[in-house]
Parts: sequence; C-alpha cells; structure tokens
Amino acid sequence: MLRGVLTRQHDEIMTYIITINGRPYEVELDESSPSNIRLNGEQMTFDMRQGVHPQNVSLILDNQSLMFWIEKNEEGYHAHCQGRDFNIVVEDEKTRQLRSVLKAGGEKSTVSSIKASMPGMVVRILVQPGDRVRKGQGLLIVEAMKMENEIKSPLNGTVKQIRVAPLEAVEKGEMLLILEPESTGDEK
Amino acid sequence: MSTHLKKVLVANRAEIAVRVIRALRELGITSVAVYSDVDRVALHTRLADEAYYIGPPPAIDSYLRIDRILDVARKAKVDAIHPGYGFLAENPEFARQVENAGLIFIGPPADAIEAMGSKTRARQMMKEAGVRVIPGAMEGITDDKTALDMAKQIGYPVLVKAAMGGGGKGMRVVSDPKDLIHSMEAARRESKSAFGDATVYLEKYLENPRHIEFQILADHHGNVIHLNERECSIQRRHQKVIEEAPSVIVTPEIRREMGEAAKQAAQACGYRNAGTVEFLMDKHRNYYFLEMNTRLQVEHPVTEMTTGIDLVKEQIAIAEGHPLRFKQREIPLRGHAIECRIYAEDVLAGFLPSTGRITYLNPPDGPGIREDTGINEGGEITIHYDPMISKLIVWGSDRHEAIERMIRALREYHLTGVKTTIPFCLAVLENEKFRKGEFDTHFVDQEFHSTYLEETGKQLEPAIAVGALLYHLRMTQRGSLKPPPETGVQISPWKMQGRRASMDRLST
Repeated sequence: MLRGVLTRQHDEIMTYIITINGRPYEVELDESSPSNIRLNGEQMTFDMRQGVHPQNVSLILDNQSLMFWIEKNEEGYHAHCQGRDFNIVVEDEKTRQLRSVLKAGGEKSTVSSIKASMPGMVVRILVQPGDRVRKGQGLLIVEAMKMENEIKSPLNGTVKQIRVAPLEAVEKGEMLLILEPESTGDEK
Repeated sequence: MSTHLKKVLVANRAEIAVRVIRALRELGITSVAVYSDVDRVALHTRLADEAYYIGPPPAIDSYLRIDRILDVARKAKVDAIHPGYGFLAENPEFARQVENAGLIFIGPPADAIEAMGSKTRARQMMKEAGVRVIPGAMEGITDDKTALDMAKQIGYPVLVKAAMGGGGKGMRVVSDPKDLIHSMEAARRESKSAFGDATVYLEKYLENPRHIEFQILADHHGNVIHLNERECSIQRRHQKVIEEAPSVIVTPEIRREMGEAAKQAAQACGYRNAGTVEFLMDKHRNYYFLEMNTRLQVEHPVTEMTTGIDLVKEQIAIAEGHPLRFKQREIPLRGHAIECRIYAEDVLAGFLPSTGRITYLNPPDGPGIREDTGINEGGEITIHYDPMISKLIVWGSDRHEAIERMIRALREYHLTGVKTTIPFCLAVLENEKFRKGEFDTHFVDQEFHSTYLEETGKQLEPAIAVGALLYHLRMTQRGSLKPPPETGVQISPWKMQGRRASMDRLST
C-alpha cells in the first residue's frame, strides 16, 4: 500500500516505556508491520479486541490469551487481571527523557497536600500547624462507613496548614492538610 | 399449632435482604422491602414484590427506625418480619415491639437476645449450663483490687473486655500488672462512648486461638440440633473475611462434643430459631464459649453448602411453628465450602474503605460457585453502610478442591469502579500455611504482606504492558478513530471492535 510506503519515510519505530508496579517494560511499535510489536526486544504478534465496555479487553499475544479490564486514573492506568491489580504508567521515549531531566534538575514540589480519599467526617486532628511529622505518623482521623481511619503522613516534613476542623464533613478529594516536605539533603 | 406466613417484611438491605427475598419467593411468600434514599435502585428494592421508602441514607434515620419499619409492616399488612443480620437483628427492643404489634419476629425471643447481648450474663448462664467459658471474671469489675487479684489468679496476659462490647471496641490485652488499671480505665471510656455502658471485665487472654463456631437450629417444641461448625479464624480488624466449613482441626469426636456444648448453650438461654455459638480453641484443642450470635450469620452459606439445608427457609418454618424437619443424625456433612467476603476496600492502604460506583461487574460462575450479592453494575458503594459488595462461596468435594476452585473463581471475578479485597483473598488462599490448615486468628497480621500483592502478578506484567499501550494508543491519540458510521445492521460489539482494530492498523 502506498500509504505504508509513505509513512515509512518519516515514521519508523516508536518506543514506549510502560511502568507497572514500579517495573519498566519497553514496547516498540513498528508502523510498517501492524500486528507485530517488540516487547523488551522480543518480536511478538498481537490481536486486541474490546467489548461493549471498551475497557473490557481481550488480548492474544503470541497465542497467549489474556482478558483484563483497564481504566484511566490520575497517575495513568489501572488494570485488573486474574484477581490482581496493576498500576500502569505509559510514556513515550520523549516524555520519559523529559521527565528524567526535570527530576535530575532538582525539580521538587515544595508542598504536599493531603486529600480525603473518600467522603467522611473528620473525627480528630492529631497534629498542629508547625509540627514536624515523620513518614507514617498519624495526621488526622476520618470516619467513614462506621470505621475510623487514620490518615498517615506520606513523608517527613512540617505541617503548614490544616484546612479542616473536627466534626467537619469532607468530600472525596477535598484538601485536608498541607505539608512541607523536609528537603532530602537533611536526611541522614 | 402452626401458621402459614403469606407476607414478610425484610428489615434490611443489600445482600442479606436479597438472600431472604429469594427464599421467600421460592416459598411462595410475598416479600416487602424497605429502602432509604440511596437504595431506591438497590437490588433488594427492585427484587422484592413490594417496596416502601423509610427515610434518608444514614441508618439511624432509616434502617434503624423501629417506628417506621413497624408503620410499613402495618401498612403492608405483613405477618412477620425478618431482620437479617446487623441493624436491628440483635436489638431485643425491636423483637419485643414486633411481637407487641401482633407480628412474628423471625428470630429468637427478645429475652434470649437480651441475655446473650451481655457478655458477662452470657458467661454466667453458660457456666451454670456446664459449658466451658474462658477463665476470668463472671461479672463487671469496678475496683482495682478485685481486678489485680483476678488477673494474678488467672495469669497474665489477660484481656480486658467491655461487657456490652463487640467488634474489638473496648478491648485491651494486658501483659504487665502495672498496665492493668490504666487499660481498664481506657476500656471503660471506649465502651461508654461506643456502647453507652462502661462495664468491663477480665478474662484470660488466649495466645493463638482459632475461631470455631457452631450453627444451631431450635424449634418451639424443645428440639435443638446443630449443623456442624464453621471456622472463621481469617480476620482483619476483628472482622471475619474468609470462612470455611468444616474446620481442618475439628475431628468427628470434637465435633460431637462441641456440638453438644452448643446445644446446651442454646437451651440454657431458651433459644429458638437459627443462632450461632462461637468458641475459641487453643492449640491443645481446648475450646471455650466466646459468645452467642442471636441471628443468621454472614457466613451461613458455607453451612448451607455442606449440609444442603437452606437456613433461611428453616428459620421461616420454625417461625411458623413447625417442628424441626431433621434429627441430629440426619444432618449431613458433605465436602468442603469456603466463603470470601468481597469488600470495597483498598488493601494496600490498610483496608481503607473504597467508595464509588461499580462501573463493571462480571462475577464468576461455573461448577460449585455461589455468589450472594446485593449490588449490580451501576450500583454505588456509599459511606453510609458496610462496604461489603458480595460473598463468594465455593463448594468442593474436599478442602483442596474448594481452595483451587476459589482461586479460579477469584481470578474470574471482574469488578471495577472501586478497589476490592479480591487480591487479598487470593493472597490468603495461595499462602502455604493457610493451605496446610496451620493458622489462627493472628494469621492476617502475621502472614499477610502487602508487597506480596505487588510481586505476585509479575508474570502477567509483560502482557499487561503491551495491552495497556495498545489501549492507550487506541483511546487517545487515535481517539479520532470513531466507530464506523451506522450501517443499520446489528453487529456484535466485539466484531465492531475487531473492525476498528483492523482499521486502526491500516490507518497508520
């Protein structure tokens, strides 16, 4: 096909890095051979179909049949397959390089906001503005579904601001508290 | 002297309401559901013959409103009320008011509920009936000296417990005498705020107990039988998550003995209908009465699967006044059954409830599978109620087959929109110690590591990586690739996706 020939001139192989649960996988697509891919350098054939819900996916990869469900989320994608959960980030080579450059440049966020992971009610606040907190330390207690859940600090840092009060109802995603991460240089 | 129930109100929601409605339908009894605002489209509301609105989402304004439920009972002219489990099921006041309204309460007498509701009173009753209880106090302890003497006599570690408690609240383990008084005060405060009663007592702390419980049925003619045991040692936060029947450590001799003890316990409190006598068993297989649950249990299906007896139908027959249909020796024990409770919880975030809409639901089926659920696709998990989505139950000819079948079923279970305990259940069933039957109630704390969940799916990751990339490309930069224009011909979505896929490849 003429079109295939044309694309081949300025488009060749696209490389993507797929990170799953922290482990990277390299997938290459050769646009001239549409049913083949290279997975970590190994050539494979694929056939992917989607169901009534497009998130319902059936993939046959080198005759291995796999059924899974995949959805977009804030970080990338979440897949559920054979009773397991997979957190996935899809990046092309350029994005990945850009991100690693930014990282190397010391581009760090200066504040970290703690958000409610579900709607509920604030029962107690365990810290005060200005408090230094360690990673894993309890920050506040939110009650939902008749259970009290302690929200823990994801990092070492200082409490900058508390945005809620005890007995206040909170929505999912609502900002609860702002932390200032400790600069990594201080860590011994 | 028996009546025939024609219409029954189910004073509950979700899977247990659905379970009861199904039994009623099979018996030809008209079912009446009650629902709160958020449950208008819940399965139990839609499945019942009649449905009545009872109030706003918080249970305290709807499913716990005795007055509103009785109003519905009068309006709908029902003969009886089934309370399910939770909510009003173990509220003696409710049972009493139902009876005062001239209706049948499908459960035990209010007095039995009341007696078993107090841990200290239950202990006294059991001891008098000759059922072994955990060594310790038989009544609430108020002064320090009695507490210290008692603890010294039974030996540390001891367990401080709230007399009216449950669910692990108002409970403290004390290993050092100098912590005792302080712990008792803390337990009193906790109990006061959670249960409105500050009575606490002491008992010996059993180090590595297993939770073994017996299902019993008692009729209005003095007959009591047991339907074997269930083991419920796999717990997190003092809540059962995986149950099975029979227990791997219960021999026929122990079963006979414990079954007799369970029947004595039921007789001692004048029990009628279905109930469960819970025991703790230490590593020397000494067993002690823990408490009696005066209702149908969440885990009742494992008993149904191994005996072939429908417990809800037996509850109704008992409530109608029929004598038990079975003698003790006629109760079978066939094969092995396991139940996994599927909760909407984020296991990696410490079993935090996960709310949201179920975007896709495709439960497993095939041989030996039963799924009791109250939710379907599009249904919502809210903050107002328990986050249990469903109970997945399997039956196998032996424990090994049941375990392998459960693993197969969990892997086929597709549910999205909320995080679930499915990966956690798989981790338990794949655990060597669980498979060998070597576990106790500390199993989850000691054996379960969240890293397992990240490592165990490793061999699937390369294929998932390819699938995720293809999905990403199809749904984003080539999102312009809309389905082909309407042709007026019905084609299967799979076929259409296939066409799209081939167009996708060609269009590059």
